[in-house]
Parts: sequence; structure tokens; C-alpha cells
Amino acid sequence: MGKLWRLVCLNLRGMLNSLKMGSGKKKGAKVTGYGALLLLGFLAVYISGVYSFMFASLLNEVGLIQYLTPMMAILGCALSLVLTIQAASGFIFSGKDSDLMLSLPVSAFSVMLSRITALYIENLFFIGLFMVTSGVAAMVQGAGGVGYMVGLLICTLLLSFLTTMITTVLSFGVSWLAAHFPHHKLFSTVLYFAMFILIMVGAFQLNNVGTLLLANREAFDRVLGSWLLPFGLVMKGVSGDVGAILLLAAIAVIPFLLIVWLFSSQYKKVLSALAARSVRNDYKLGNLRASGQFQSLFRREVKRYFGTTIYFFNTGFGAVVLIVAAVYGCLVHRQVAEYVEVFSQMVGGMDVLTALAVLAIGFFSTTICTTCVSISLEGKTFWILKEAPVPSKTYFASKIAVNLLVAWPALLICALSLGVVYGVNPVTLAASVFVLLALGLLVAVYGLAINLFFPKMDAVNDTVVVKQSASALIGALGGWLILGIAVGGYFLFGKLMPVAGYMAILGGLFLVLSGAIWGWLLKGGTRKLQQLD
Amino acid sequence: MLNISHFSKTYPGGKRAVDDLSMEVHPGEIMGFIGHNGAGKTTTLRCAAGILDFTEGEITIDGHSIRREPVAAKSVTAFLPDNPDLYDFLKGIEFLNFIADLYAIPKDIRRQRIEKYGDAFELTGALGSAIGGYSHGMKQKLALISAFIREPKLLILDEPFVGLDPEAAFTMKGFLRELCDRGGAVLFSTHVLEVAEKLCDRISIIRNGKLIESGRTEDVVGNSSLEDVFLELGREASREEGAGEVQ
Repeated sequence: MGKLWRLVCLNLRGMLNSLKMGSGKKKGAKVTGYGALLLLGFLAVYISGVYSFMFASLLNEVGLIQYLTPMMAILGCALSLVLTIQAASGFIFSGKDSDLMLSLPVSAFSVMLSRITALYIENLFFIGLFMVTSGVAAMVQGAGGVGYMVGLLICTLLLSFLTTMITTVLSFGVSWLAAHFPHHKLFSTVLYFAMFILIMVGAFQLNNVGTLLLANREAFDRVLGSWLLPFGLVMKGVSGDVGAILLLAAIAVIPFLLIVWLFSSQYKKVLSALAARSVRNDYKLGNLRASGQFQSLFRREVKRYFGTTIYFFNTGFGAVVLIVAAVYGCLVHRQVAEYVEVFSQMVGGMDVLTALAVLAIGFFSTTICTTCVSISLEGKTFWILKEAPVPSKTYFASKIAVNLLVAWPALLICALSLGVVYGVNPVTLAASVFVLLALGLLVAVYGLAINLFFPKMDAVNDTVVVKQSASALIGALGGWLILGIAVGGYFLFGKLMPVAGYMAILGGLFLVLSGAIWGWLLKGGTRKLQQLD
Repeated sequence: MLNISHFSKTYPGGKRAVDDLSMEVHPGEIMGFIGHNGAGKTTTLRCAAGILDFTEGEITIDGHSIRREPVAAKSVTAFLPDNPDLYDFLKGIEFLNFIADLYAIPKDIRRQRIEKYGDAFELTGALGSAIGGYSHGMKQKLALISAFIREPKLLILDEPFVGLDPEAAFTMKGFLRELCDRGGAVLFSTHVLEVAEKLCDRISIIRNGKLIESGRTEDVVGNSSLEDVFLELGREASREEGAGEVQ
């Protein structure tokens, strides 16, 4: 038991270590790890709090407040699943310390159990944040008291077993694919996007949750009694139904223990099968293509980007949303033309409405920041470029070019198609496109600068860099700051000039700022790059 | 070819890994760089290759300062770390092509060199597979091929024999000598003293960041073996350190 607990603590420390900045050798890095965890927790509480209180109010109006907890439980579990699957496949089935762990006088069973336990704690953290805020929202609406919260906490503990079990099975599937199929990354990327689009579609529907539930209550009850039974039991359990809690415990814990026993007892065999290499020995040298340094670096960066699921997913999602929004907007423009007209009159004209649309597009544009983690992703292979005769200018330019490759086409497609279809004034449209492209450039350039200030060269896997590193978080916050300043500037100065004029000036400022940051990159950035190892 | 002059490296936290090191590697020479674990070998090699930054002393390669003219210095250098991490998402041939692009090797010449070194290390057949599936030895060979195809003037290797099978090690020794015969120079660190004794023209021994012995192999070894010399120097240095502490 003592050894098992030590392994669990080790694995948890490993997971927390992933949140530290730099090489983790400084004292402050440990604090940064806890700080990043607190920030992630705060963001999760904020997001779940907003949705919980909004749904609680909507559902209470139609007398269906009891559905709040299962809905937030579904959302929490789904997000936790998406966030932990990729990390779990690297952590449980492909951990770099597996050789060391399995050679120690500790049973393979204990090694596997400790990893699944650490994963359970991570799931509990995410699901708990969602569930607790939903419980508070329900209590504010008068839906329950202390007993409600106790039931909710018990259900949270039990649901985390279920999610952990599903994560473990799916992550094994991901690892198996990775080991046996050369194009497994494409499959992972498609799966990831499909899962997230489902969640996004569901999230868009949630605004009509009250109406939808009223109209389809029986169907929803049937679903909660069948394939979403655990969440149906959560709904009953928080209301004091002890039998429901016991049944939930049986559904969640017994399969969890079975899966844990199965994988743990076969852990060595599983790891050996996954580690089996498939290297062919029949390659014949053909004609080789030669290109310049920039083209070669750019190609390598593109290959890494589209071949790293979590990197592509995290930073390319905004581009996908923009393109989907453009297509959808074009398809429904006749149906919504009337609402657009009314809304434009409400806000002060079509130009102002265009500016609001540009703001929304700009928000997604700031999420397309591949550069804010691109240097960190070099990781242990950084030596290859450090010892090569590549000027830092060429190196930086190749990374910025990939960011623009992802951002600019999506921005152009979205802005131009919606602008033409909704009859935006050509001058305003031109200014909109200009400011959006300039923003895309600024995001790419400042992302690189941020990564140089907050590198994470010692991450155990790509997921840690893309999702949990300081530069990824700061890159996201930086985008919001820029948009906030742009909005503030509009309120201060926008009334003094036409909207197109303000956007053109803003675009010019973005270009100037991009130029200033580029200038710093060539000098200060080069020095920072030299100091990285 | 390589001139290291009063080079020191202190890591954040105060650890002085290398202290006032000066040494030279001349064209046509293979220099062995040996020392105990943590002596400062890897730090020295990585600073010379331009991977690690430093502020004290000067390192020049073919007359170019690695700090002030890094591109010029690196364009004639190839470095191989002790455990080369490569791009798992590239195939072997894509990685070699990538390196050849960075070093501006013309298309037909790179093909000849890849064929030559790929066949010599018996890796050509596997170049079409992703590096992620390679064993440690295969990655080591691929990294070596990527170094040799540049035909550098200075080759810096950190424990190159680790993970290589005997045949590959023999092949590599042949290519090292060939490189030096062309006027290039080689600096490599190793713990395999027998190989250093047979292969190297000069030996430098480092201990606790300081150079304690350097010279032609036959002068350093004398009538005994390099192992005996290394151990004796280590004992002497320990006695001096102990005496220094007492004072």
C-alpha cells in the first residue's frame, strides 16, 4: 500500500511538473506549477459557473431545475474526457519511465493502478469543478440544501470512476492505433474534431435548453433511463434517492475495477505490444528534392503541425470554426436577413454591426496562435536547429509563416464571404479584412515573443506544452487583452470617425506593433534563443 | 580548426561546470576528450557547437567566433550529442534531406553522400520508415549519417560509440580518419579509453571543469595505458583538492 501511494504521488507530481515554466530548476517554477493549476481551476469554475447559473435560471423558469445537475454532469464528463484522453495515452501507455518503473521491485499491477489513480484524481478535479458550481447554482435557485450537496459530492466521486474508465479504454485505443497505423494521427485528429464539434453543437443548443426540455421531456427522461443512465441516477441521487446512489456506485465502480484489473494484470503484455516497432527495410534511394533553408524549415514545421493532433486541435480549432461559420452564414443568409436588418438598426447601422462581427472573428483569430508553443515543442530536438547554420531570422520567419498559413485563409474566407453575402459596404469590408489580417500577423509575432520569454523545453509530451504551458495560457490572455484595448479604443475614439476609418487605423497600429516585436525578435529574441538549451 | 581560449561556463545556481579551459584541435587531428562523469565534457562540446550559451572566454571554429559569427562557424561544423533525439514525425530520408537543405548541399551531391554513408552504416533500407519506429542504435546511425553528409571541417561527437554495434563503430572510425585526411578535425568525448588510445592523435583530460592534461597520445600515455594514466591523474587531483581544503 505504501509503495502504491508513493507511485501515485510520483505520478501526480509528474502531472503537476508539467505546469511549471522553464526547466523547473528555479524555486519559482514550482509556484508557477501550482499557479497554473489554480488558473486552470479558476477558468473551469468560471466557465462552469456561467453556464450553471444561466441554465439554473432558464430551467427554474420552466420548473425543470432538477435537470441542471445531470446536464452539467454530462458537460463536465464530456470535457474531462476530451481533455484527458490524449494525455492519458501518453501517460499510461507510452510513458517514458515505463522501462524504469517495470524494472523496479514493484508489481506491474501497482504501476498501472497508480497511473489510473492519478488519472482519476485529474478527472475528479475537472468534473468536481463543474458539479460543485452547478450545485451552488441549484441551491441559489432554492433547489436543495446540505443533503443535496452531500449527494452531489458522492455522485461526483462516482462519476469520476466512470470517466476514468472510459478515458483508459479510449486512450488504449489511441495508443494501439499509434503503434499499428502510419496515418493514426489523421484518425486521432478527425476523432478529436468530431468530439469537439459535437460538444460545440450541443453547447449552441443549450441556449434553448428550457424550450427543448419542455418539448422533449419524455424523450430526455427515456435517455436518462437508458444509455445515459448514470446521469439519470445522478439526478435522482442528489434528490436523496439512496438506491440510485448505490446503483450508480455499482455501474461506475465495478466496471472501473474490472478494467483496472484487466489492464493492470496484462500491463507488461500491453506495453510490449504497443512498443513493437514497424520499420521496413526495403527503401531505395530515389530523386531527392533540394530547397532553401526557409522552405525546408517551413515544410518541417507544417509536417509537425498537422502531424501533432493536440497542437492542430488546440490552435487550429478557431480556423475551423471560422470556416464553418462562414459556410453556415452564407447558407442561412436569406432566413436571417430580417434579423440582421433589425439588429443593425439597434446597434447603429450596418457598419457598426460589421465591426461587431469583426470583433467576433477577431476573437477566434486570437486563438490561432501556433507560435506561442512552437519553440517549446522543439523540446529535446532543439539541438538540431541550434547547431545548424540557420539565422534566427529564417527560423522565426518559418514559424510565423505556419501561423499565417492557418490563420489568414480562414480569416479571408470568413470575412469576405460573409461581407459579400450580407452586403457590407466595400470600404468597410476592405477595412475589416485589413484589420483582421493585421491582427493575425500580430498574434503570430507576439506568440513567438511570448514563447521566448516563457519556454518549456523539458515537457514530457506535446500535450503538456500545448495545453498546460505558461506561454499557451499567456498567449490566449494576450489575445483577449488586445481585443479589450481595441474595444476600449472604439468607445473612446470610434465616434470621431467612420467605423472603416477606425478599423483601418487599428490595422495600421497592429502592423506597427508587429514590426516593433519583429525588430525585438531579431535582436533580443535572438539573444533569448541563444540562451535556450 | 577549433580554438577554445579561457572558456568558462557557470550554470544558473552557481555551478561552475568548466573553469578557464583552453585547448586547440588542429586540422587533420582526432582529439579525444576524456573525463569522469560531470567533469564538463558535454558542456564544453555543446558550447563549442553553439548549442549552449556562455559568456566567459572565446571559442572559434575555422577562425569564426561561435558567439559573434555563429552561422559562419556552424556552417563548417557538425555535432552529435550522446543520445540524439530526432524528429519522430519525419522519415529517415526526410530528416537527411532536411539537414542537407540547412547546409545547402546540392541535390546530386547529397544523393551520392546519403547513398555512401547509408550503405556503409546499413541503414539505407530503413530510410523510408518514420524515425519514431527506429531503435536507439538506428537513430544513432541516422544522426551520424546526417553529420557525415555535410563533410564538415570540424566534427564534434559526444560519446559516439554508445549504442553502436561493433561493425558500425568500425565504419565510423574509418570515416573519422577519412575526414581528417581531407583536412578536417574531430573532437570527441568517450569513456572507452581503449578506443581513444588507438584512434586519437591527441588526448585532453578534464577533471571538475579544469584541463589537467593535454598532449599527443603517445606523450600522454607513455609506457603505460591511458586507463592507468587517467586513474593516476584522478588520484593526484584528489590529493591536491584534499590538501587545498585542509589549508
